[in-house]
Parts: sequence; structure tokens; C-alpha cells
Amino acid sequence: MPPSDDPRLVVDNASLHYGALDVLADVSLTVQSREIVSIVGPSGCGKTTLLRCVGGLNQLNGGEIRIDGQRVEKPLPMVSMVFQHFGLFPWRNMWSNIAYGLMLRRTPKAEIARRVDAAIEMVGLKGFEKSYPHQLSGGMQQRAGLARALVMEPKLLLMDEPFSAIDAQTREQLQFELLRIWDRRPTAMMFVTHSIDEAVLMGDRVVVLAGRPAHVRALRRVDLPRPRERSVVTSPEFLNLREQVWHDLFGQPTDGETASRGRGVRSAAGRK
Amino acid sequence: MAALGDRIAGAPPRGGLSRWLTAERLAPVVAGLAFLLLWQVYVEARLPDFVATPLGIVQAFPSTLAKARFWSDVAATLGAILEGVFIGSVAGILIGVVMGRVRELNWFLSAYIRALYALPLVALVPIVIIWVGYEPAARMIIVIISAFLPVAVTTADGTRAIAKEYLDVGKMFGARTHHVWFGIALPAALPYIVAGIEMGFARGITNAIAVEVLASINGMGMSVFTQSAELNENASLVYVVCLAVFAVGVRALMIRARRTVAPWYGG
Repeated sequence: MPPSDDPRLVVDNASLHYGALDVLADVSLTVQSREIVSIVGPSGCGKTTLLRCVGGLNQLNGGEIRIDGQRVEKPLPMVSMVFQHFGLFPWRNMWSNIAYGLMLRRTPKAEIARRVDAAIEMVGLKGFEKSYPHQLSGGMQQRAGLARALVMEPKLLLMDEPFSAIDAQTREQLQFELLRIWDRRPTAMMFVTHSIDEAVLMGDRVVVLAGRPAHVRALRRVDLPRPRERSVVTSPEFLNLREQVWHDLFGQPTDGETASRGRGVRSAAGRK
Repeated sequence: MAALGDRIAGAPPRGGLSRWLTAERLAPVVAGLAFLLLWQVYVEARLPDFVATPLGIVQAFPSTLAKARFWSDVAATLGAILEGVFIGSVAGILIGVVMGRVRELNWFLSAYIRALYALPLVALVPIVIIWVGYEPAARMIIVIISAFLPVAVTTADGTRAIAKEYLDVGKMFGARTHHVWFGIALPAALPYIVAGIEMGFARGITNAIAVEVLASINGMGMSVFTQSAELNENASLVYVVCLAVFAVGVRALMIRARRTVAPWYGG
């Protein structure tokens, strides 16, 4: 344990199995209070499961997760999550979807209105308050999903492949908007993705999760300048890091996996 | 067709009606008129004059509607249906949500509710009459059960089949059990519930009429039979037409209700 520099999130030797199937094996990582940590790994490797454990939606079988020193056994109020398929309630309009968490907490009405309006402004959804999710595009729905999480002013923001269900152009747009929002109010964020580019672009550190059961295969520090502008993706540092993470994932033959199998999926992994 | 007509040189400009009146819309009207004509002609030619005819029914409308008895029948039957379906639906929604969300309760209740649901409720009429006598209460009880069963079953199915992500969102943002039941499960199940209420109305109407006849309770169904027995077939069919209009109206209302309460559900 780092005694002085207390991280916001500590995942300590997390293990999880469903029956005989081991999903997570001794996963340890930390997220500092103003840090974005990307978790990247192949689909189905357990990274979303890990995120759900941090969110208190799933339980570990071994090890523990602490947020600000508090052990996670159920969802904690200082944690918010953005869901892969948005998870907006179709019977609530956009405004009331974003207000959902505050309403459950019986926040005073005036304060809800103030905070929700500010969150809507922040994610650029002004004018769509009364629209229902089925009337909005995927990108706009996820903006609302983001606003719903941000309006809670969480100490830890969990992102579960938030842009993977969105078309490529909108995704790029949203990535930079999320970075801009984060620059204004930096908070601890755990960002799960299966895209190496996205992991490097968003993260201060990239945790490479792989294998069966999943374990931390590599940990990369991303020393790209913040705020991150679009030009960063063509910088040699970015490309170099991308390459390193790719090799962490597919390059080294470990756990009986072969290098040739890794090379075979190179183009697919790079584009995903 | 109308558009084609517009383009014919020298043809006068057509109004909205001719544009709306396409062959597809005209076809059922033609079929209906042909049927009524055949009915009218056949009865006039071959059957005694107390047998109902389309024109006879039309002529019987004013005299039937002028009677106080008609309106007390309408109030009794339709009032019982509306009240019974309302009570049955509210009870069905409450029990259905609990059945859908509490697995253990579902184990206890599901088999019986589904068995009753499959049973023709007319079979229960003699038992209900023994309980409450030949009284309007018998009709009310049957209508309540008629609506309760389909609403409970559809609500249970609908609240059980909620997308997992909605439940995750609820948990993540601090929803307690009652928030999940009434704030997530219930609204998610609304399209199912409306379908259940629609079915409840259909069964409620059928069973209300059946109870009136079987238990001799005053109402529209009873009058259909008494009028017919007194050889007022035309008047009897006035009641039938009114019941049909009510049933079709309720159905249209339910389709609208579903679009209003669950616009995301499509259709």
C-alpha cells in the first residue's frame, strides 16, 4: 500500500470466478484522484466485469476494492457509471433521465434543476430536454448518459466502453468532448475500452488486461500533454505507445498464446 | 387512383374525400353493403316478418333509444364493465409487479393464476351465484376476475423481462426496491399492461353478457335475450350493435393509450 499518496481507487488482488470459470486472477491497480486509467483488453476478457465489481454491481471472490478507503460491497454514492448501451429509460425524457440519480437522493428541486441544466449545457444537449431517448441518435443518447453520470459530481467515474455502440465519426467527436469536459473538472476515471487508440488517447495510464483468467499483463504510462488536442493522435509518442500496447496485447507469446496468432489479428485489433 | 384522375385533362379538381377514398378503403364498405343487401332481400323474400333485417334494425333504433329501459341497461352493463375492469386491472398490476419481481411469490402463485387464466370464466358463474345470489354483484365479480387475470399475467411477464441494463442503472444511482418496482419495472412493462387491459376488456364484455343471461341480471345482455324472446329481433340487435360499437371503441382507445404511455414501443 502506498501510505502517503492515497489513491482514490485501489483494486487489490481482485479474483472472480463463475463456478469453475476463472474470470479475474489477482488483478491489482490504482486510480489517483485526478487520473484517467484506461483498461484495454480483447472482448470478453473480463474488463467490463472488473469495472462492474468496482461499481459494486458484481462481487469479487477474492481480494478487495476500496474507494477512498471504503470497501466496495455495493454501489457507492460517490461513484457514477456510463453504460455501453446508454441505459436511458425510454419512458423518461432526456431531462428527467439526467435528473434520475438526484431525484432518487431527494435533492431539493431547485438544486436538481440547476445541476441538470448545467450538465445538459456541458454535454451540448441544450434544446433537447423534452426529447425522449428513442427520438435521439446514439451519440446524443450517450451524451445524456454522460450528463446523468456527471450531474452526480462523482469522485470516481466508471466508463464501460461508452463509445463502442456509436458510429466512428461521432465516437471521435465524443472522445475529445469528454477530454474537454474532464480538463475543466478533472476527476478519477476508469475507462474500459477494447480500442487501443482510445485507451491511449484518454488515459494517463493504460492497464492491459488479458489472458484467461484476466490479469494485468502490462501497465503503460501515457506522457502525452494535456489538454489533449486532436493533433496528438499523429504524434510519434502516441503512435509509439499504441504500438507498445499492441505488443502487450498480441505481440508476446505468454500463457501458451503464440506470437503468430497475435500477428494474424493485427489489422483488426488496430482498427477496432 | 385519385391522383390519376386529377391528371385527366378537363376533369374537375378532386377534393380531400376522393383522395382518401381509395379502392382499398372502399372494398370493405362494398362487401358490407353487399352482405346487408343480401340479408335484407333474403329475409323479405323467404322469412316471416319478425326476423330482423338491416332496415328493420335502423328503424328500431329511435324507438329503442327512446326507452328509459335501454339507458338503464346501458348504464348497468357498461358501468359494471368499466368499474370491474378498472378494479381488476389495478389489482392485476399490483399482484403482477410483485409476481414479476419476487421470484418466490411467482413460484407460489403463477401456476394457479395461469390455470385460472386458461379457464373459461363462464364456468365459474354458477359458483359465484351461489356465493352472492342472482345479483349484479355476480356480474361485477366475474368482470373483475376477467380483467384481473390477463393483467396480472402480462404485468408479471413484462416486469420480469426488463433489460438488465435498466436494473444496473437503478442500482448504480441508488434505487431502492420500491424504486425498482414502480419506477423501472412498472413503466418498462406498460406496453404489456395495456395489452393485458385490452384483453381484460374483451373478456370482461363477453363474460358480463354471459353472466346477465345465465343469472338473469338486468342489463344489455339480458335485454338482447328478452327482446328476442318477445319477437322484437330488431330491437334485440340494436343492443348487439351498441355492444359492438363499445367493444370496437375500447379497442381503439387501448391502441391509442399504448401509443401515449409507451411511444418508444413502436407501432
